[in-house]
Amino acid sequence: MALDLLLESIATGLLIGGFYAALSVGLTISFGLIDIANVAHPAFIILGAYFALALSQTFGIDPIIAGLLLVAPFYVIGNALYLFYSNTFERRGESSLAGLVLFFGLLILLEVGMATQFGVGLKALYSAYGSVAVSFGPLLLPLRFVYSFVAGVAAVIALELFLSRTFRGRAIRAVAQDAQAVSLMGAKPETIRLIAMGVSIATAGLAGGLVLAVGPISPYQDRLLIGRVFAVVVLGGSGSVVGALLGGIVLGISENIATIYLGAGWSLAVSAVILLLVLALRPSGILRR
Amino acid sequence: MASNQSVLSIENLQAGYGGVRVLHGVSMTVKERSVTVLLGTNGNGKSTLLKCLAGLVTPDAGSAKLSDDGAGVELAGMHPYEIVEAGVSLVPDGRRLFPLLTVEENLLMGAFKKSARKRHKENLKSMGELFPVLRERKGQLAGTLSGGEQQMLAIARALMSNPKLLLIDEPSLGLAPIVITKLMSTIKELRDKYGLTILMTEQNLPQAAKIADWGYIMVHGKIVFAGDAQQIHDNELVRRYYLVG
Ligand SMILES: Nc1ncnc2c1ncn2[C@@H]1O[C@H](COP(=O)(O)OP(=O)(O)OP(=O)(O)O)[C@@H](O)[C@H]1O
Ligand SMILES: [Mg+2]
Repeated sequence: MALDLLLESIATGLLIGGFYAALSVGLTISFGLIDIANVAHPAFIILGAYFALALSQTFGIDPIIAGLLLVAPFYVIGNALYLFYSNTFERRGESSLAGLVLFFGLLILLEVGMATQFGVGLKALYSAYGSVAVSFGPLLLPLRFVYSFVAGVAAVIALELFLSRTFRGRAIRAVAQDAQAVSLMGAKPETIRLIAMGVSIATAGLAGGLVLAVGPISPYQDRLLIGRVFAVVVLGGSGSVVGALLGGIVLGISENIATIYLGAGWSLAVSAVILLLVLALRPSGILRR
Repeated sequence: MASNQSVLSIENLQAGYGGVRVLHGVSMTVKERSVTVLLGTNGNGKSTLLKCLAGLVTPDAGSAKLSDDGAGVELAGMHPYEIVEAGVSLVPDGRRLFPLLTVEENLLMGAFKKSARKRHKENLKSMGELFPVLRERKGQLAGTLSGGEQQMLAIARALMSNPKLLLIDEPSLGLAPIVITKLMSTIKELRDKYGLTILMTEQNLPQAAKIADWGYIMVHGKIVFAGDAQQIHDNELVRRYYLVG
């Protein structure tokens, strides 16, 4: 009986890990590869969730499909964000600290904007599979977590292929190592970063759809996510997309186990503990090569 | 061998960093299918000149024209990525590889420009033939290669863009004499077999003189000597300057 419970929480934790990976891959690209500490990343995810809600309600589509539809417009939002950031902060060489203040300000603006536009209360979409569970051997798994896991893993695979198999993707990894050398290859580093930031925010659009598929949403929900996404990014090694998947799974399982043995109140502390432990003991993450 | 057509004409180029002038009116030419060596000891401005040609440093005055079948392209003031597009590729000081990308990924970075992307498969193959060690180590991280292998990779990466003019900044730096000898013969092969035009800087005169068609000596940002291979060999100034022979 207790073993069943443990197994089930591990299995659900694994599924939630795929979901966490989807929330974090964009941040591992901006924070890990182009040095932009976008603390507003989770706020963009919640913005995506509200847009996905509007799309789902208007056209009667699945929230995950709605998230997919947000990928292109969020890519453009990411481009615009990068242009603003590079023209104001990066160019003046004030990137790190002043940039952090910019993104923190943006986070507040997004929260307040969503609260005034959509109201502070919880909103939810009652999709067909919202409360359905599938049995998998002796385990009973919520279908919404199965779907978000599949979407998260697919996003990770797509991004990994993009970063390792395409000219632009490789340039994004190269620009993190030596931007001037990238310009000697015939690529404009600013353009490469522009693309990277577009991709980063595009994943927030998809993640928004997943957040909506998984549960109710509210304007300040990003605050529950921010510690988790940074923990996942650091755990997986900043800049590693596959690492984000592993980090997500470790966090998902740890949170579930902490919930069983310590109580639900502790699950939020897990990411903080992981973040501190990894930074102290293994700052390059679990996938160090 | 070297023809008389010049690929690059530099005239009265002046450049520096902030208020400090490093190049004081440099003029030189690089002939088609030649190996031209720019000699000079530490701090005389050799790297600065190549950086001007590659767009990493913007010259204050003067011109550097790349002759493109009659029509000249002014390199001075262009961005680095535009210069690569125009057919000039720099193997920079210190190699500047991407240490966390594999050997093959580094090579593919060299093929970023549009016209080179189309030919990346065949170019990858020719680089494997030219530098067999790179083919053997294509999956290895560039940061884990030996110094000589890194220099070969840096040259191969620059070649992946199909340049008309290859600039190499001190290829021998930090390498053992036997590795330098091999490297020089590879550079010679680039000229002889592939018809490339090469401008390289060197401090190692004896090694560079073996393959040079033309030589220039730079002292304090000025060209103090220009001559062909024989003249470099015979010249008293060269000998005194380098204490050789
Ligand atoms: N980024 C820079 N900022 C300021 N000064 C610089 C910079 N790079 C080079 N210099 C200065 O310009 C002068 C010429 O340097 P440069 O690197 O061109 O010499 P070099 O001939 O290539 O020397 P070496 O053989 O040691 O590579 C030196 O006095 C150097 O200190
Ligand atoms: Mg130098």
